Amino acid sequence: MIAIIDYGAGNLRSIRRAIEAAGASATVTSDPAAVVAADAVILPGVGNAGAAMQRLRELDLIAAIEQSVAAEKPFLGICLGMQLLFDYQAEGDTNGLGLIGGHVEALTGSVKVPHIGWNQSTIVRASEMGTIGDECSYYFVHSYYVVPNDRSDVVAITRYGLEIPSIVARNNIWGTQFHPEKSSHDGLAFVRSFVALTGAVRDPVSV
Amino acid sequence: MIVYPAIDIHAGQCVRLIEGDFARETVYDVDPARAARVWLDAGAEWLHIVDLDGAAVGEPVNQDAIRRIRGEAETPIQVGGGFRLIEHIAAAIDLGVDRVILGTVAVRQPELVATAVKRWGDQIAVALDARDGRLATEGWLHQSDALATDVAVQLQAIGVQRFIFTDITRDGTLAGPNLTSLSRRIAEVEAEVIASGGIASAEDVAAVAATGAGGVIVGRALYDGLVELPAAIEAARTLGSLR
Repeated sequence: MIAIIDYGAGNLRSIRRAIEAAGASATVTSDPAAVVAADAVILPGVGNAGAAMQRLRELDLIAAIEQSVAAEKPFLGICLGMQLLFDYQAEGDTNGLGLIGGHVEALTGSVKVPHIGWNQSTIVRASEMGTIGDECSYYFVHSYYVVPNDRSDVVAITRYGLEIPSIVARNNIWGTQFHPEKSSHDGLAFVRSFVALTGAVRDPVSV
Repeated sequence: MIVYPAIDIHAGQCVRLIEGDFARETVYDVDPARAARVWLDAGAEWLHIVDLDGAAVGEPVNQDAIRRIRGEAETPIQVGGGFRLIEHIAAAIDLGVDRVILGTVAVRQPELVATAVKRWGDQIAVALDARDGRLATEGWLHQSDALATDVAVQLQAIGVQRFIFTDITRDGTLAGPNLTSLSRRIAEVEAEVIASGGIASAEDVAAVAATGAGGVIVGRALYDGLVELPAAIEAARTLGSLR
């Protein structure tokens, strides 16, 4: 069972559907116990980093997230959910979950902000998600981007004015700046790969 | 260029009209979410959804169908038809709609468009539906004197970043897109232009892509099987701009 954390951030049905299409079961929950008990956790996110962190605190979800990650279960942050994995967030001048070292900056320069639409993502290092293609097309909606302290946390990049990390990974923690649940075939392929990691937790021999 | 399969909803069902005429309607599927599934499985990158009842009465009507399509779709969706108040737009965005298309209201109340664009930016598009270059509103039941291009230039000045131009006399007719008027509009408007109306073949899609349009909406040709969606997407990629 994969827990999709419901903290009032956007429409979660597409994410649940994508997981189910990948052959796993999912529950949309704001219950910390359900998050801890799940085989893997997805932190979605739409909106403002400051408000999102406050909501996670109010719902007592932060300790549950930390516990799940400490148990080395696969964890995936999507869009704002990816940004929240990091330390300092320029949006809302707040601290994130601090699960990956680094900070979050605003997109600036000559590009249109927010970055909305389909864009290419290029793999820059090998990862446990061997099944996703080197060049994929994903759907993005964001005004901020992550800057990991350790560049080896970056799995894939997307060019939008500058090179922004589109996929990050550190141990069992994953983040996508794009919305896999809205990214058609390539997005579903990513979700399938993530679901496969969950299988690895349950039964390492089968993978 | 993005190919947008069209899902037109009338009384909860997926239909196609000819030239926007409710008397000339074909029901393609009683379940719009099932129709959506067909295009999604064929590789759709976006879905274009029109609430025809909403457009006619002036407020969103088929929200349940749209909610079910949203639940079904692993792509972004854009929705038009009946958005006349800020609350209508806010409700659609909350429901998970990625882009809201304003029509009639854009002509009647440009100040509302300005408010919407300020709040939702690129998530707002304006559809300008024209017959002989002049706008038609209220689900095309009302003909105005305003020129589509004039209105587009004014709306662009208040921040609209994307327009959908529909040639009503071509819509649902399979007569081919009106490339002359489309090229003229693209030249006159800086914002992105999505073309709609008359597409009947993958060659038509390629021809629209060659004009520099950012997208093309395809309806009847897909439902009647004249165009296979993967072929249309391929045509858009080969000759289209990167957007």
